[in-house]
Amino acid sequence: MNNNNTTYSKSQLRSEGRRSFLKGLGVLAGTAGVISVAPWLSSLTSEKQATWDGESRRARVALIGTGSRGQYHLHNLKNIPHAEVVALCDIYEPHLKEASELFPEAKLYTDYHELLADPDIDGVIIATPLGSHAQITLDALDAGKHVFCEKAMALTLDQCKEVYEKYLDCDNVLYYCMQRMFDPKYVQGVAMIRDGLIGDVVGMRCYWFRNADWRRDCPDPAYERLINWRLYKETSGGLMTELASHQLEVCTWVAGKMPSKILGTGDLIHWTDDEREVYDTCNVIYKFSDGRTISYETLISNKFNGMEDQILGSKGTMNLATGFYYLEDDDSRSGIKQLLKSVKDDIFAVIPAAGPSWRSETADSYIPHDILSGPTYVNHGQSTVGVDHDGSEEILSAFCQACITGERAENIVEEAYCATTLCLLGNLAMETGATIDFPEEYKIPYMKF
Amino acid sequence: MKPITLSPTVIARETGYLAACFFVALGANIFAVIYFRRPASELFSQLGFVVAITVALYVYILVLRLIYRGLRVAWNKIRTAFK
Repeated sequence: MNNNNTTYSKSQLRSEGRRSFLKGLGVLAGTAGVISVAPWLSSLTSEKQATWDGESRRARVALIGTGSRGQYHLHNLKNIPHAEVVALCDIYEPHLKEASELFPEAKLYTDYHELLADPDIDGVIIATPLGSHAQITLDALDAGKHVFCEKAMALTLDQCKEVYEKYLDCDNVLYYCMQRMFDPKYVQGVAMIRDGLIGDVVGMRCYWFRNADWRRDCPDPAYERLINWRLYKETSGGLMTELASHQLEVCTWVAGKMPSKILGTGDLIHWTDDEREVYDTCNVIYKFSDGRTISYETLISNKFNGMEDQILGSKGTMNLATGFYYLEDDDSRSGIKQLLKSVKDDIFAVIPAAGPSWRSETADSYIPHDILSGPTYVNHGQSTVGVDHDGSEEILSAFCQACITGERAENIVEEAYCATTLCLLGNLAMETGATIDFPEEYKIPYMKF
Repeated sequence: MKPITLSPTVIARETGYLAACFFVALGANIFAVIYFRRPASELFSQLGFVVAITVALYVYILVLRLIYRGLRVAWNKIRTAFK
């Protein structure tokens, strides 16, 4: 097996909490070529860590948007020693009050412009509805703040382009919360794929199934569109921007290139009792110029299949979400078991009634192998807020470090741009029923087709 | 109920069948280790599997033998009836 160079134990990656994890990842970055797989981790190498370990300063960060995801970030910030939450902002007072209980010393704002004018803030974390991501990001960059923004990048392609161009024109740090990029099992899994463990990547299959109405309790109908912003097109890209953005980012990360054609179908078929506008069922195919595809499926009225990010190779399958890989011709079986399987396959192959196709080709004959040794944290995709150990804390910590050092993370913004444009084009393909060619005007130099 | 007694001949014959099955399973393991280029330690580590195959083979052959015996008894009865 050709993965010796990139096999890291869980203890290496996460030995004594987050700080050690980052150090461990940094050590790996220096020794095992992780940077070539995940260049955004370059700020975490041992050498870089050593230069700022002595820093006594903490990043002074502010949170804009104190809803469920914002509060999730606040809980993570409590574990980050080099972060200091100095301000909170929300237009919805009950959320602001809840957040202030977590950080009572933080200044409170209801207008983010006032917060951005505060010179004592190094960076802002944006966890507002998608429809406001672009404008707040632009305003924050203009105000000279470093920015950590929730995914997706923006609600429209034009906004994505505008933010990207602003990013190129300034020196500020900009992170998007694509936490899989900092999840050890993803980093190692992609490294193994690049090492050729599963052969040629012949396709990708991702899905995310939930059975929940995606609706939050709303105490006052006046706040319906504010609280349940995910359900309305003026503020949300629906399942594509909220769920698919993470998975499509992984696909382009693995492929190292962008799909050139997008086709899809989607509809609102189950949660039809309210006024929601976004689809509850989406099927989208992304086709690369060489014919390979990403098959993407999501719905929120059945959770049988859960969530998986499957990279299909000629020699095996990498299931990054569950932390397992499977080999087509698995030589890890004992000889006698391989012999019996061979005999069984030969017997089934010659049964006339069953036909030769009835060979044991499917999952029951595959052996799961751990991407990381030791217990692996798996997100089954049912939480609508976030889970522990999915990379969220690590990426937030890296951002806080960047607020101190001012060092940008390579390719994070580009990856977010790629994933977001694919989500938005997926929505367009579903709405129009047309096969969409990736529009020339939204291509950036980072993209390869 | 009449107690089942196994004569020394029967015991020797069944032991012979069981031993034959064991050697077939052991031979298959040795063949597999060579054919699939597995470590020689599997000759010992897979002994449990060899025993399981031995039992499975023995039961399989036992069923075949019982069917054969049943058919032979039935054939003899039919032949006697038509004499």
